[in-house]
Amino acid sequence: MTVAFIAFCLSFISLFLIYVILVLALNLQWGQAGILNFGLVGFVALGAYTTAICMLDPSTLAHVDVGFGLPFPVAFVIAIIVTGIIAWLVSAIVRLGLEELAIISLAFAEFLHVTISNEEWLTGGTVGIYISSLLDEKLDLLGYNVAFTVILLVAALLVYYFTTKLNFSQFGRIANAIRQDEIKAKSLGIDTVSHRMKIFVIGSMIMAAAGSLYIYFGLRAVPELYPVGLTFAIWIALILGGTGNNLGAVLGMGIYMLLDMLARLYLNIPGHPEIAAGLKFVIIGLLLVILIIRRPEGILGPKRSRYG
Amino acid sequence: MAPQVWPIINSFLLETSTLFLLATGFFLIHRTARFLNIAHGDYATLGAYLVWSFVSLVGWNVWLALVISVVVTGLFAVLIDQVSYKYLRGAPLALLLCSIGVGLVVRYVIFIAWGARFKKLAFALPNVEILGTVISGSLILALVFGGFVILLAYYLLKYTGLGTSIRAVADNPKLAESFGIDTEKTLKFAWFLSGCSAALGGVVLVLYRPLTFDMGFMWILLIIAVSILAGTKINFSLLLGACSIIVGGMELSLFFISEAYRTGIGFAILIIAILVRSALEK
Repeated sequence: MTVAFIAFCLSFISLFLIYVILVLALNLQWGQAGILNFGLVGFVALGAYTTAICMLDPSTLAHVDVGFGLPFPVAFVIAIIVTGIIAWLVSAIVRLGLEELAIISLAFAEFLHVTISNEEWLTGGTVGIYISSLLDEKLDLLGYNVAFTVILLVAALLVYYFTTKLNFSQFGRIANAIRQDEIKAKSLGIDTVSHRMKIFVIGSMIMAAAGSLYIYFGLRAVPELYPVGLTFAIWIALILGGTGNNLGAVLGMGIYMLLDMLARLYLNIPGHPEIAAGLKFVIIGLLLVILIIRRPEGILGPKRSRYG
Repeated sequence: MAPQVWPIINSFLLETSTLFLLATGFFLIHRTARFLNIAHGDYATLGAYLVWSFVSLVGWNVWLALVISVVVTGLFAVLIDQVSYKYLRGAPLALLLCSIGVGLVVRYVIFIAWGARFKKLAFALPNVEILGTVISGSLILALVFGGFVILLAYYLLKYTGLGTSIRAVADNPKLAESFGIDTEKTLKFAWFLSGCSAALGGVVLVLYRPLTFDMGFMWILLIIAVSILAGTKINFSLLLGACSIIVGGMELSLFFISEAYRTGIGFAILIIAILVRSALEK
């Protein structure tokens, strides 16, 4: 096995780990609290771009006018805080309904996509922002990938531990109660709206953290990294694996990525590239429809505390 | 002054009627089946592609092609409802997720069947000149279709038994059922009308835009916005009002900021409207 091959495998695993963090965050929002967040990719992009702008060295500015040259840990924290504030604003706008929140979050992601593609002074437009990371300068290709994978593994395990712990805490039990019967939860004196907003903000901050980490190692932020399709890919993985079950969510993500890779490798019809490109989405769509109708609880059903 | 103002009025009228036609069916389903059908924009795309195929590949007359594809799209909407949404009645969030899947399937089947290349509907009505301003044939057709749909909707809702049952189901499905209204049959009609109006909207859209496989999907956020803005009563003049407010706001915003943010302005208007409404309700 060559070094390049190992590096490729490691970069695949690290992409998987990023997606695992995202699917866990989504499971926190949808599986526990029943919040529809269709703006997932927007929060990821927000975390990524905030990190990139904070880290960009002001002395080397080329096509972007803003940069602060902060070290990564500071930029990471700032990105999470900024995303938290914006997620709070997004959810505060629609204190009312879940459907409204779903649409506003989708609109937010669209709006952010337009903004980062157009505001060249801030985000570099379609060219994007390139940052240099300390690890990149000190390590070779293999060491770089190993470091990236290890850090992501730690991050994914932390998120897994945190969301599972939350599910079985009082906080999680309240969230489950709200999801199951909002009126009953209200009658027990729970402030359902503010509780839901808290979960929305926490989940979005985790998404921003994933985006931030990925940018630090991916070294560039461009709008194409954040297509709306990514949101739906994570959604399908979650529904596939098991809503409300962290292990199921990870399993679903694994199956999804495996299917995606198989489709890339074997779904080639010579002379008709659009068939292969389109067929993948048709299969994903069919899978989504069939799963929701036939097995809404996913491969592994929900796992809740005894009182949940 | 007049030469600069007319293009804005022209595109305002054109886009308002397009948005209204695209949103009518969505609004009807939003109020009767009670969920946001994300696949609605793709029904419009399907209608437009059917017209294009009948005209360019089969060689039919445009008007015949229009009628046939409107009906076919309507039947298609009923079929989709019968094989998927029917099993999820009364679960709006599951239906919303399901419609994302349906939208993906429809959109990419269109993509596979007709390819990714831009197409243009080879059809144009002659332009008309009134008082020195040239009014395009597309605008006239869009206004005629829009007017036809709103009058038809008014007549159906107000004077027919079908309209009464649609209104009853929209107000309270359980109560309607207990009064002997066949909810399933009413929903079937609603889906048929929804598909038909989507196809009309798609055809009006391709009078001035090229056909692409995601052209209907591009409009879905605006469609949802006007449908939420139009409120909880099933009233199509309110829907038309919502369309003109959102399109009008987007047109006016062109004076202040870059065109890339048009859709963003539409949403800003929606958010303000939601805030105002919830403030008034308190």
